[in-house]
Amino acid sequence: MNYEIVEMEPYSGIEAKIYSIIPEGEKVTLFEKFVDEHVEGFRDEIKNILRRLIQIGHTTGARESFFKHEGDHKFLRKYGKYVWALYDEEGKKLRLYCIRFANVAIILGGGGFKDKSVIKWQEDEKLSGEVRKIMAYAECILNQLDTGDLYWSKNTAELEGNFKNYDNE
Amino acid sequence: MNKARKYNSPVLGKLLDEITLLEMEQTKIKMQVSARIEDFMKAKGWNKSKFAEKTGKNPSEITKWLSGTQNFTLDVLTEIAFALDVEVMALFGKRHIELIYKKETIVKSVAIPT
Repeated sequence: MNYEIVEMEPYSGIEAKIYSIIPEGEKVTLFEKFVDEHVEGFRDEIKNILRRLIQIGHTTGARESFFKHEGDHKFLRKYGKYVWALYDEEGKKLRLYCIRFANVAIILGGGGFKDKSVIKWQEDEKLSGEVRKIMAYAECILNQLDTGDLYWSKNTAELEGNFKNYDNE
Repeated sequence: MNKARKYNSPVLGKLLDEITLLEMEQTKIKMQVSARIEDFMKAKGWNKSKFAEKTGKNPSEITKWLSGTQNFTLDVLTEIAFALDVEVMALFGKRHIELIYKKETIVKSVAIPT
């Protein structure tokens, strides 16, 4: 997979770094695509997500309790708990997926509408696609971390290294 | 060392501009209070189940409390503070536990020879 990881301003802050992914050949991040797909029908909910991301970056950090663990057993066994969804408020309909590195960083992916009747992401085609996509990106990024292509800064507060994971670079 | 490119989305910026200072503060307080409750819970050595047991709640209720999305009533905050054996106002304080952790991290990073 070819992609660039970018740091999202003004969401990223001293408590947690907020990143997202721009797939090769695309102009916007996975997170912007998610916003663009849902802003018309869920404007207030999207703004609520933005408010929470700002606070995660600048006030609280990416605490585990603010997220729900996602992904499948195969991924979990192989890599551990890295794929998460932002905890959705009662009555809210959107599910946003991300890759979470303890309290210090999240990489935002996409997401989708989650109907009340849907209990697991596997039951919904769109959500399944988004979870599988973020698991695939997580696999690549964890591989970059394993090989030292990406690494944590000395104070473990942010990622450093090669943010453009392109075959030809 | 390479750092990630800073990325500022005009589309997201426009949405952010629609958020009032009051709305932002409301979210901040909700998330800070949740974080503080969790800090006190962990300082007592309790997990969610233990905390649920102490408050007579279902563990799923505790998950909601800690999610940063809960609009707590004063009665519920009083109930939580009572269970944690702290003043209600302490739930609005700053996070001593994490500050100590950060201090330790800084000392450690200075001590590592480069």
